[in-house]
Amino acid sequence: MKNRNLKGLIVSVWGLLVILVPTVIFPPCSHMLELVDGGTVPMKCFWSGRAEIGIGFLILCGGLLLFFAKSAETRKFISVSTLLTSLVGIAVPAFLIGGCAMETMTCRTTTFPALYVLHALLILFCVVSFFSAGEVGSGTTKASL
Amino acid sequence: MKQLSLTTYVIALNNLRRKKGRSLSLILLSALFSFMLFGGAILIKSLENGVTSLSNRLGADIMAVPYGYEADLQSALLRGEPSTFYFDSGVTDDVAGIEGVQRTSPQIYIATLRAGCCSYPIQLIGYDPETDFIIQPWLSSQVGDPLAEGDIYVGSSINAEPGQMLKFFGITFRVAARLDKTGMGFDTSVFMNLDTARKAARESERLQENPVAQDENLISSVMIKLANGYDVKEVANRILQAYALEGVHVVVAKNVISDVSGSLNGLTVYIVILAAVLGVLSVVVLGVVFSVTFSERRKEFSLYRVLGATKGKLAGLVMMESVLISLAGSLSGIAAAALVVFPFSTYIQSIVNLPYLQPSVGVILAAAGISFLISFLTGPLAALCTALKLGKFEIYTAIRENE
Amino acid sequence: MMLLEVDQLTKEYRRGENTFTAVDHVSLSVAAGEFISIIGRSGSGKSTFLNMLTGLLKPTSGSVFFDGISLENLPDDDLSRLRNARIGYVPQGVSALANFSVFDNVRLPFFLDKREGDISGRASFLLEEVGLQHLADMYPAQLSGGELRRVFIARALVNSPDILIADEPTSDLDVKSAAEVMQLFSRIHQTGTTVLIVTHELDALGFGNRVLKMDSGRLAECLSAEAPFG
Repeated sequence: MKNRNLKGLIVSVWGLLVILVPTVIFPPCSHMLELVDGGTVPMKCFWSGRAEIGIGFLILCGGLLLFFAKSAETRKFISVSTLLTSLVGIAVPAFLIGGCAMETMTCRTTTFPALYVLHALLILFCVVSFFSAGEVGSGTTKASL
Repeated sequence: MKQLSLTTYVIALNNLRRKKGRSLSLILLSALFSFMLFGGAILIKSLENGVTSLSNRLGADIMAVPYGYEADLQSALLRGEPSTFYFDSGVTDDVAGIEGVQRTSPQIYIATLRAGCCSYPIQLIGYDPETDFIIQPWLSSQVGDPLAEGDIYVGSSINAEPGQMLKFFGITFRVAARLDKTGMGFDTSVFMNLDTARKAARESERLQENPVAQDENLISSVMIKLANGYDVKEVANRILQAYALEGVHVVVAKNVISDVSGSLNGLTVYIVILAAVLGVLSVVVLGVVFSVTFSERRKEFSLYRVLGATKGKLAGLVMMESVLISLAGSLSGIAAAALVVFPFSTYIQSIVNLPYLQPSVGVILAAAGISFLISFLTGPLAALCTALKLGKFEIYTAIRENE
Repeated sequence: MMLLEVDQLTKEYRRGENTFTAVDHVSLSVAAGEFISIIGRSGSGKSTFLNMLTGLLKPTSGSVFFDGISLENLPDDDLSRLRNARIGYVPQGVSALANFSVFDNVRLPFFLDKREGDISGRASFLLEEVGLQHLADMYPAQLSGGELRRVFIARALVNSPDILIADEPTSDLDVKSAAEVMQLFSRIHQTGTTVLIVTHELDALGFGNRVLKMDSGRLAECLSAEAPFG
C-alpha cells in the first residue's frame, strides 16, 4: 500500500475511534440530571459525547478524502481542516459544552481523557502529514517517513 | 536526487528503514520497557505521595465512630465514598474525659444522593471550627477566615471557583475556597461548619430521610488527639472499655496508614519485578536478535570490510543501529506512558483504590530522565557483544560461506 | 618500483591430518598500467590468491608488497584504508548492499573512510561510464546480473584506485553481458588504471597484455595468449 493511502486509512480509523469512545469504549456518565420540578435531562457530558460523534464522523471523512487525494495542495488542505476539526474535538469537552463538575465522574476520568489523547495524537499526525505532503504544484507526493 | 552524505548515521538509518518489520518490533520492545519504567515510576511515586499526604492530613491519632462503621470511615477518608452514620454528640465530651486524650472534635457526615453539579454522591463533612485540629491547620495555609454559615470549602475534584454558588439539597452554598489536591477522600468532599451541615441534613429530608434532621444532637465521628507520651493502643483500649457498650468504636490512624502503605508496598514490589523482568527480557531479546542478524548479515558486514571499512567503522555501524532503535523505542515508550498516566490519573486512582497524588513536575521530569537513560542503555548494551564479535571474524571465510 | 610485488606467496589449509596447499609459492610482479588476466579452473587457488593480494587473507608464508608497502606487518586499520583508497575490488558473485540504491552503492566506499567533500559527481560520471545512469535510483534487486556487475565495477572505481582487481567478473553472466563487461575493463585499462582479473572462462582471452594460468596453486606465464592450455 502506498504511504499516502496508509495515512488516509490511519486518519479514518482515528475518526472511527473518536466515534467509538463516547459510544462504546468509554461512554460518559449515563445518569440523567433530576431537575427541581422533577423532570430529567441528560447531563452535559452526554451532549459532549454526542458532539464528538459528529466530530469523529468529520475526521473519518477527512481520512477518506486523504486516501483518495493525490495532489500535494489538496492533501495539505485536508490535513489543516482535519487538524482544526480535532481542535474543536478538544474544545467541546474542555469548554464549549463541558462535562461534569466532579473529577471522579466517568466522563472526566475516562471519556474526556481518551478523547484528548486521540485528538492530540491526531493533531500531531496532521502536522506531520502537512509537511510531508510534498511540494505544492508538483502534483505527486514524495515517499516520506 | 538528495545528495546526502552516507555517514554512519545515514547508513544505519537506511539499514533500519529497509528492514521495517524487524526494526519496528525491536523498537516496540524497547518502547514497552521504557513505558513500564516511566509509567511504573509515576505510579509508585504518586502512591507514595498519596500515603505521605494521608499521614500529613490525617491529624487525628484515633477516630471514634459508631460500632460497625469503621470500614465506612476508612473508605470515606481514603476514597471519599459517601457514608452516613451517627451517634450521640455526647460522645465528644465522654471521650474527652478519658486519660491521655488531649483534644476532641466532632464531625458530621452527610452523603448526598445527587448534588446540583452532577448526579454523583458527594460526602458533606460538617466540622466544628471551634475545636477542630484536623481540617483548619491544613486549610489555613490556603484560606483566610474560618467558615461562615452557608459557606463551604470544596475538594479539588469539584469544579467550582471561589465565590461561585453551589446547590445541594436545594440549598445554595457559597464556595469560599477550593482546596489543594490531597489524593484522598477529601478531594471529593465538601466542608462546612456543623450548623450548616445540620441545615443541609434538614433540607435533605425532602429527598431522603436523615436522622440529623430529627435530632440536633447527632454526630458521625469524633477526632481524637492524644496528649504527649501516651500510647495510642492503650488509649484506644480505654475508650473501648469505657464506651464500647454504648456503641462507640475506634479507628486507629496509624493502622489505616500502615494498611495503605502495606498495599502500596505490595504494588511497588509487583511493579519493580515487572520492570526488572521487562528490562532483562529487553536486553536478552535485543542481544539475541542482534546476534542472530549478525550471522544473517555476515556477508553484508564482510562486504563493508572488503570495500575498506575498518573494524571500528563496522562496530560503529552496528552500535549506531542499536542506538537508533533504543532512542526511538525509549522516547515513544515514555511518550505513550505519559499519554496514559497523566490524562487517566483519576481513572488509575479509582482502579488502585489507594490515595494517589501526582508528584511535582520536577519529580516527573527526573523520573522521565532516569527511565529514558535506563531504557536507552539497553540497546547499545545488547549490541556490544555483537560489535565486539565483528572485530574478530574472518572476512574471507565470511564471503565464502555465502557463495 | 612495481605497483604490486608478490614473492613466494603460499597458503596452506589444514584438513584434518592433511595439509592442502591452495597457493603454492607464487611470485608475480605487476607494473602500473598493465592489464593482467589470470585464468584457471575452479579450485585452482585463484580466489585465495586474490584475497591475499587485497590483504583480506593472511598468507602462510611469502609476502605481498603494494607500492613498496608490505601488507604483512600493516595494522588492520591501515590495511582497510589501503584497500579503501587504492584497491578497487570486485568480489566474486553478487556483492550488492541490498538496502542501498544503485547510486548509493557506488558512493558508499567514499564514505567508509573519513573524507571531506561530495562524491556524487564522480558517482554519476561512473554510472554514466558503465551505462547505468538511468538506473541510479533503482535498488539492486531490480537489476539484472550484468547490470549489477557493472555497478560493482563502478563502485570499485569510485575512490580512483591504483589497481582494479576483479574475481570472476563474468562467471555468472550470459555471453552478451560478459562481453560488455570485458569491454568495460578494456576501456578502464585504457584510461590508465591497472587491471587484474581472474576468471575460469576464456572470455578474458584477447584482453590484457599478460595472461597467466593458475593450476593447483601454481602460477605460470602463458607464452602465447592464443593457446593458454596448449
